[in-house]
Amino acid sequence: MKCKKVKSLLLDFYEGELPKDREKMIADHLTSCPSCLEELKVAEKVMEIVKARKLNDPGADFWDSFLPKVKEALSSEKAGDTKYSLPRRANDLIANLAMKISVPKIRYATISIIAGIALISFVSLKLALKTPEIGKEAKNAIKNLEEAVIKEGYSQEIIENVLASSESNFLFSRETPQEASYSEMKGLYDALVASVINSGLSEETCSGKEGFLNGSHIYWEIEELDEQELKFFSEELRLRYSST
Amino acid sequence: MKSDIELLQEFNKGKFEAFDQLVLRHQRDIYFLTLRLAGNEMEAEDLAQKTFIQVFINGHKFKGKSQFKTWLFRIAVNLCKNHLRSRSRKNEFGMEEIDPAGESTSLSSLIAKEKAKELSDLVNKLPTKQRFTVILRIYHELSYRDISRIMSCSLGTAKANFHQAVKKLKAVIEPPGGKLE
Repeated sequence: MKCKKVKSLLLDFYEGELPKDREKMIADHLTSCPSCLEELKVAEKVMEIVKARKLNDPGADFWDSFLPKVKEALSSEKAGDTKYSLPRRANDLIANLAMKISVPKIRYATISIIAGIALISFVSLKLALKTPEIGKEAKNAIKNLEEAVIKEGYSQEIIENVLASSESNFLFSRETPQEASYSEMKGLYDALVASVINSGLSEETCSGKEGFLNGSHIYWEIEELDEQELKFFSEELRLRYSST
Repeated sequence: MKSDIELLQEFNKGKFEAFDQLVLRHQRDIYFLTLRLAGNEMEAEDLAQKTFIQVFINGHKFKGKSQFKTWLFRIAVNLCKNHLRSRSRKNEFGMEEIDPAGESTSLSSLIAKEKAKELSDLVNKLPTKQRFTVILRIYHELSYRDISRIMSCSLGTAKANFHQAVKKLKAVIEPPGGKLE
């Protein structure tokens, strides 16, 4: 084996990543080649020195407070914290709240139906709020939602941010129909979750809580929506724009 | 002791204590990983917390195709990548000299410390992919297969990144034309 080839394999040799036969060939070569042996020593030295650079342990207090901090971040208490933007966190928490109801995998058709109903009811609610006569009823529905979610341990602030999500409002108040963008999809999901919760559907009505799961599923996979899903949401958007 | 997967399954069924156990079990690994990747203690803590928040939110999405730890590292690495990208857009300089653990003061260890500092500086200056790979390989002793999964690249690319990085690091301690003592 030539030196050039040996040198290209020295790191693998050092790390024990080579097949036995190749390892033996290199070991044999090293017994008679000072240059390659020197190269191996340098590689060993680099690995040793870099590895020896340990970090200071931040101490027991740090570790003891780590989990409580994670929980705090998950709660609504620090919702205004810029570390984790509020609307996003609000959506995450609501979605997670929904996910707590464990759900079996469902089919696209079921998602479409539930999402469609949820979306339409949400849009109706938005429009209703602009109409004094039915606005009161809609406001009550929102109040019920708030109470339900607060009961689960999340703050008023979170709910307000879900309902007042600027992206949702933007989505439904815009005048020019366009292709659905990522933020629109996200806005749709806001609407979906809020409306499903708002509709007061029971776990049974949601057919094994499918609505929630799929809502969250759609949201988290939103960048990976397949053509059919994208078409469905785009179509919903266009319908909304043309009727308002 | 329950496996990570078992704990995650329990958490997905609504048992929140299982999530706590996962955090307690992996908090050190994740914090030290984000500290080495982000190079800043405050940011590292924030990124480590965010990693577990993502587990909380996306736990149901883990399909068990890899080890839980690999998935967890992937979340942390992606958060760090995004964070560094956003930091570089803002032109913020976030890499601090991380204080290494206290070491003895014998002459040989002082020399080693000096070399280590030099190498550490160079590690911090490596291109992101090479730097991340070095950290995952050397400090967390992950296999190239796991690194390729975490870094979303091929096994060959993971290896190549590591080899390129070590080649650059070798230049620091390799005496020009001379032999190591």
